[in-house]
Amino acid sequence: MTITLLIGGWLLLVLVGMPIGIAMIVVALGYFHVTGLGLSFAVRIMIDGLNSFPLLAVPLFILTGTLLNSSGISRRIFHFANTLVGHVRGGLGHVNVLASLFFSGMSGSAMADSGGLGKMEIKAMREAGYDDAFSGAVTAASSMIGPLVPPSITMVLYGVAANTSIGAMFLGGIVPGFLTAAALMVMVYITALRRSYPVERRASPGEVMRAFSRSFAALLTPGIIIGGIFSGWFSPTEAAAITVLYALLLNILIYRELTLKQFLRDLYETASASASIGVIVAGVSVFGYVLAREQVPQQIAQAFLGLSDDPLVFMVAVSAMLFVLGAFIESLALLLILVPMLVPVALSLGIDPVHFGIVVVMNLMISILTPPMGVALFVVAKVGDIPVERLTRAILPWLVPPLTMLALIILFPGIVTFLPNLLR
Amino acid sequence: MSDIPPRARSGPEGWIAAALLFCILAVITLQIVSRNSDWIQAPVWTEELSRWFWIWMVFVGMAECERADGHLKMGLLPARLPPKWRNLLFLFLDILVLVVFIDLVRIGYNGAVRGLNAMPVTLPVPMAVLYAAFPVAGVLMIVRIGLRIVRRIGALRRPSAGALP
Repeated sequence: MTITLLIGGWLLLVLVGMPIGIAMIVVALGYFHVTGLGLSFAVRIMIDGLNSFPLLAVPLFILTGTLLNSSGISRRIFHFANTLVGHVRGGLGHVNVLASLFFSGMSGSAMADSGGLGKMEIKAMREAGYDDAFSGAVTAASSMIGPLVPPSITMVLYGVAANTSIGAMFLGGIVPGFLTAAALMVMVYITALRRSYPVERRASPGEVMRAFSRSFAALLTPGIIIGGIFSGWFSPTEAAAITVLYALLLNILIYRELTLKQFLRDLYETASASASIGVIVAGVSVFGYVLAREQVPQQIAQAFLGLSDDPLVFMVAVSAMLFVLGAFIESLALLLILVPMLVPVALSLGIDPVHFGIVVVMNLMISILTPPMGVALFVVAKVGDIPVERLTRAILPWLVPPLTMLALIILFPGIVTFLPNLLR
Repeated sequence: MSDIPPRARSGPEGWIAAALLFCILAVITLQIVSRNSDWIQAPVWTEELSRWFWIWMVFVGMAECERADGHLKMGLLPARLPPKWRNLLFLFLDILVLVVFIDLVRIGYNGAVRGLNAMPVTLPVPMAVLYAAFPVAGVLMIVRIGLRIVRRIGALRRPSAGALP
């Protein structure tokens, strides 16, 4: 009864428009007052929840993405992708996916992809004669690659919530990220054939090399992050700071498009965006404390273990749950609430925490595409000036490639664990 | 047409949070450089200080999110309500959050006072400096929510006013 009241109360507040993190704080405080337990610790619990060095990677990776967007790197990456795959049937659709894959190596957020790169991609596709529904759906679907390829804010938060190596998570996401991009390109190709979409002119080797040289320095970013972490030079949080400095150096020495005013504005926007995530972390800390007092994690564990002790059944059940909940609840909140409860069950069933983490991240990225509350749909609809209803219908077939990839990742853990195991 | 004045593009809380973010970057950079060089002795306080900056940044930034409607939220139902009912619903939510934050500021203040005698591992200032982050930011939140409640009541009195976010 208490659990229903707690979770139901939180959901109700969120659905009527209260911010997700604040709603958790409100419900938790209500619980403390009613039960008379823990009230004097409420603020302390929130502060302790935030008091984590790995969490500092979140604002720094957001800042890197923002700085690279300001430098015009999105334009250069789009151009480079165009010279590589623009001539294939459905050209700009492929360019859209490939540019997202390149961009994902610099930005850890799907929203930075769909909001920054997406606007340019939709404009280019519209001018080339692609219909808005297709352009918007490809843009939204390809934005999910961002958090799969390092750096990834979602993986940082998973690493913190599950007490799992963030570096191993970064490595584990690389192959699924590339495979998801490939699956989306197959989908683009099939759709383009059926609808006779245009192709771009094939770029000459010289044009490809010129486009490559203009974006080469930025494309090195994921190598710096992974190389730095696994060579032992720096921790994931320090790697995030290094990438910010690298992005600044690129802007100052090579691209020269960043002004001091723009840098200050980028700091401002990053601080606000990071704070909105931090409030959820603080809210989850105090709400999680309440759920733990009510033994919710134990009950969830029992429910899952009661289904079956087969890891495969557990993975499918978790995916089904995240698919349903993810359609209604913001993905980061879902991650921070559920992961600490689910990881012990996964470990008890012998599932690799990195494998489980990538399955969770993949599920959450599918959830940002899933109507009615898929965040990527709203962002793309806004930047592309496409009606949400139209995009909501158009996105449905685009759930097939990532869901297929999810099934493959669940069935074949080696897709995820191969790279991390290589470097362990 | 709505006669609600637009919000300022930036607020002081946001700039303070931005400055704190810059401090995080500077301190972590110092940590990396000092550890990998022979000419600076690596300070022991960098990690703790950067965490403190982060916590302050989140809570001060929370007030900025309140000002600029930047919180992560889903608001599926309010979008379907007419402006007047939406304002009424949001007025109720604002008052609820205001009451909760007044309570939290009180709790946070007591916690900060208790922290006056506790010292952190590496920094030469009491834990109260860290624990003060919430009550200070909470007061900023209360001011922002209070101002919005006033605007919302004003909007409810004017039939021509649209819905405030």
